[in-house]
Amino acid sequence: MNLDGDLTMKYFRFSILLFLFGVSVIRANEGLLAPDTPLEKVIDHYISKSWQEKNITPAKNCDDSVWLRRVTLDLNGRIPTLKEAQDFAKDSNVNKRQLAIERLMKSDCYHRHLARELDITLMAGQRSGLLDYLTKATAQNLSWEKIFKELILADDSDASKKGVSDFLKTRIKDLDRLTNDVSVAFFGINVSCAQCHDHPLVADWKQDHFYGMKSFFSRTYEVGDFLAEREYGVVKFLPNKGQEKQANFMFLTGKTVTPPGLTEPSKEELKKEKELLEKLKKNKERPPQAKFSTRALLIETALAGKEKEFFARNMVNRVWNRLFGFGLVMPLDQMHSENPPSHPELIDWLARDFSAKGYDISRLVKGMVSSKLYGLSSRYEGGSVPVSKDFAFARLKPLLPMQMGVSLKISNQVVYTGDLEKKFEELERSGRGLADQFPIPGEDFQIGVTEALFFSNSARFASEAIPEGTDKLVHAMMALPSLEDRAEVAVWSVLSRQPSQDEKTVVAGYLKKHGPDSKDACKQVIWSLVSSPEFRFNY
Amino acid sequence: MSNRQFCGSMEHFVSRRGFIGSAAGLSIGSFLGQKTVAEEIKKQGKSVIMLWLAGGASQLETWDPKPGAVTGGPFRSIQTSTPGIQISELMPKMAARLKDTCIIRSLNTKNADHGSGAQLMMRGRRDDAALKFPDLGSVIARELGKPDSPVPDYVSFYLQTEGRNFAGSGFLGARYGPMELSKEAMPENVSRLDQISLEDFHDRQALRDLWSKNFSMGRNSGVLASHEQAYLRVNGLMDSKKLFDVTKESQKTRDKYGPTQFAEQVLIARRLAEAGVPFVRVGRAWWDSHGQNFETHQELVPELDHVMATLLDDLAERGMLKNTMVITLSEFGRTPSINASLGRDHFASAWSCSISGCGVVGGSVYGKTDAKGDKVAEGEIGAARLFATIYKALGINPQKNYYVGSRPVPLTDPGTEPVKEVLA
Repeated sequence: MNLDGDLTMKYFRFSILLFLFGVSVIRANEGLLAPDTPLEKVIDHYISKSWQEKNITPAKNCDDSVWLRRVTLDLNGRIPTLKEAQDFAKDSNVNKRQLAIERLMKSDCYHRHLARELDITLMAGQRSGLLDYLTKATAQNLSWEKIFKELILADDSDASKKGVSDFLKTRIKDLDRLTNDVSVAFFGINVSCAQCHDHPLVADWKQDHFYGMKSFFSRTYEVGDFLAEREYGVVKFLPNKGQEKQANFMFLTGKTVTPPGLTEPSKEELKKEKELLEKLKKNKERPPQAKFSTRALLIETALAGKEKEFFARNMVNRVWNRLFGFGLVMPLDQMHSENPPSHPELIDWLARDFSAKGYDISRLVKGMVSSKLYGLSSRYEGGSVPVSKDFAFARLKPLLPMQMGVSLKISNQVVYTGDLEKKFEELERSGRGLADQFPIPGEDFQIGVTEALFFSNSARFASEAIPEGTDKLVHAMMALPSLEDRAEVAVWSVLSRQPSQDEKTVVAGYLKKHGPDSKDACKQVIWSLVSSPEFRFNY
Repeated sequence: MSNRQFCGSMEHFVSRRGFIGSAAGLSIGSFLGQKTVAEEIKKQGKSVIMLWLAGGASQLETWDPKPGAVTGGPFRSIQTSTPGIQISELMPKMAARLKDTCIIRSLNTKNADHGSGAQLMMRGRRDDAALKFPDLGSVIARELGKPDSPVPDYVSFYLQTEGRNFAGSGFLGARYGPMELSKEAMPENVSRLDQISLEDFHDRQALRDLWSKNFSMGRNSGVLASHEQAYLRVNGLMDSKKLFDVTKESQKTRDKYGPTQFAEQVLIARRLAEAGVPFVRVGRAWWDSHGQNFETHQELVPELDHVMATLLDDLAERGMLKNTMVITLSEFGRTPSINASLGRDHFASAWSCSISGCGVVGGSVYGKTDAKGDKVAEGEIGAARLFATIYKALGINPQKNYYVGSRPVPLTDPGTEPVKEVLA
């Protein structure tokens, strides 16, 4: 299969042209597809090119129902409602997928879900005020660049930015952790190995890099509930070979910058500073802003010149990983020369585009979900199964805690009255308790037996995940005289798809055996569906 | 035997569920690594029961008494069954049956803070900036547990509130986390709800299996396998509920252990180990004797002495001692100096623990402290070497690597040697 006939031909003709003129095609930036190529076409071009080179046959395309469930979970953090699922299946508009993407991206669920995704990247599940800030930031469509700046500057003096400083505040007591977390979250680099020794495997990372990055944060400290920054200070460290040395202010690329304030202040000045701090702390006052901020210097350094590639590539890789279930570089925090991307041109193009178009995450997301690649089936029925980095079939993505919580609620909600957006918000709130029962899936995630026991035997699960009420699925099932119709509505509502005739027969048989008038039998059917892997994963 | 496939070679002697499990393992790549058959056989049927003395038990009132020294306190020392080894008079029963126990008197773990000390002594190392390490229970669950085991592979009793919440599976993830018993001595969600009959419960599972089977066709993934595995274990774990029911033991056995909560939990731990649970921790709190150290220990040590000796006798009678390791451990010991409230404070520079049964030299002492117990005089070891020794005694290679992403993470820090003198 070729995802991208047109472009391959164009590229081919272009190559021939270059050949005729005696110019060799080199794989440098200028060899990439043109900047104005639609993002989705670029993805399909490079991926299908790699399939051709490796002689890989990709999986078939998924059907409309699977696609809608997938994109609704990815863009709105929930499964489709019964009505959405059935309407989409019936819709004969050839542009219905594009229309669905636009509809979903306009919903407030989109911003809230994106904020939760970013919060997981930044806080790994630790609760803080950051989610409030991110929810506002995504609702205003702030660029990733802007969010990065605000998080690192951490200026929460404006009440509308409440929570913005929590990324730093939750880490300020442990500068080593802060240094590494910033490197991982924003630049895709885990430098923790280089804390104690030069990286054993990767020539890129030396102790100088770790302590160089740490230098940018070393002047930051806490005064009561506020963050403050000194105008002097350097980091000294003991290398594993040689004498103690003073770290340069060094970015991950090795670029060094020199801020003012490299000398220690006099005893007199230090005394004055101490007195001021004690006063501020006592009066719970905000400390004055430093005239020169080395955190601002980090931002400036990281977003300029070649340095900005790390920032751009990291987010491209993270969004890709989120939507395709596997990064172009894996692990996500090992973006270095010894660990090349699976599709170098693709990530180069996407990073160039991301940076040129103002670090707009939604543009990336929209392009990725609009690609043909995004519509592949997760079922691979060929001979030998291609490896993950070939992206020849869709990966199973375990639902995030909130995706689970809200989707359990939606799977049982068949009647919606009033404002739909408000109802979704309400379902998110009511699903939070259930969501807390699920761990955040990371790389190499495994589901534990605690979850299966919770589904099987918890009274709370029984009442919250399969509730009763006139607007609920149990009620809708009981209202239908035909047992097969009951099967049909249950499968549509929970799994967002049409059941096969075999499935309907089996479920009808089950309902018959356990009593056609039994509400409990209906609940057991719903239980079997919500506990199935088809529900547990975004496939 | 219908679900077993056997082609004649040891490598291929796997059950159907075992195969699903190993397929799940392999699909998460080098993460789990390859186990050799020899390693597997060596580890078969081994269990660890850890008696965790939360708050920090005093070495001077247990394994390393200093009678007569200014730091010695009021208790005498008594001769044990091994000539030349003496322990506190508060432990007469263990003194009489030291033959299976190795005392380690030379721990210097350098961390006398409850929280980080407990984390250190549960993991054998400090978390680093980027990585949360699994605790001993999770590693043992991973190494000695079976993917399709009908019993839990890591159980932690911790009904008292002091010093809780320091265990955890770190980068190994939820699959190897503890089944925590913090409210009652019965695990959560192992009893069928009254509202569903047993028949309906099983029928509902069968219906679920059908959806699952259809979905799994043409989809091969580690996380999908773990989801299936979790549901396959539900009925076994519900059956294992009886293991937590101490009334299933004869009155005679229960009388031997005694009526205290700690004794009952240790008896349950023995039941669990007998049923194949690889790791059980029983937390016993309130050792943090900043005031009235001697009264505290006069109350707690005899209970520990009695319960531990009874457990070792019981394990020996059942032929389990060879494969069961019993560890007594705290986050740290207590200061030799006695404070103004007649208490002893936190002390991590020279303290003791014990390992009994599986893989260790019984009736022995390793290491020595100085005359007042202020410093280690001989054989100083930290948490890392203690853990390497425990792993080695259980047949687990202490240098085995796990892979977190591409980063190799050995079970103990590189170059950490097990203590040969402790190993049988």
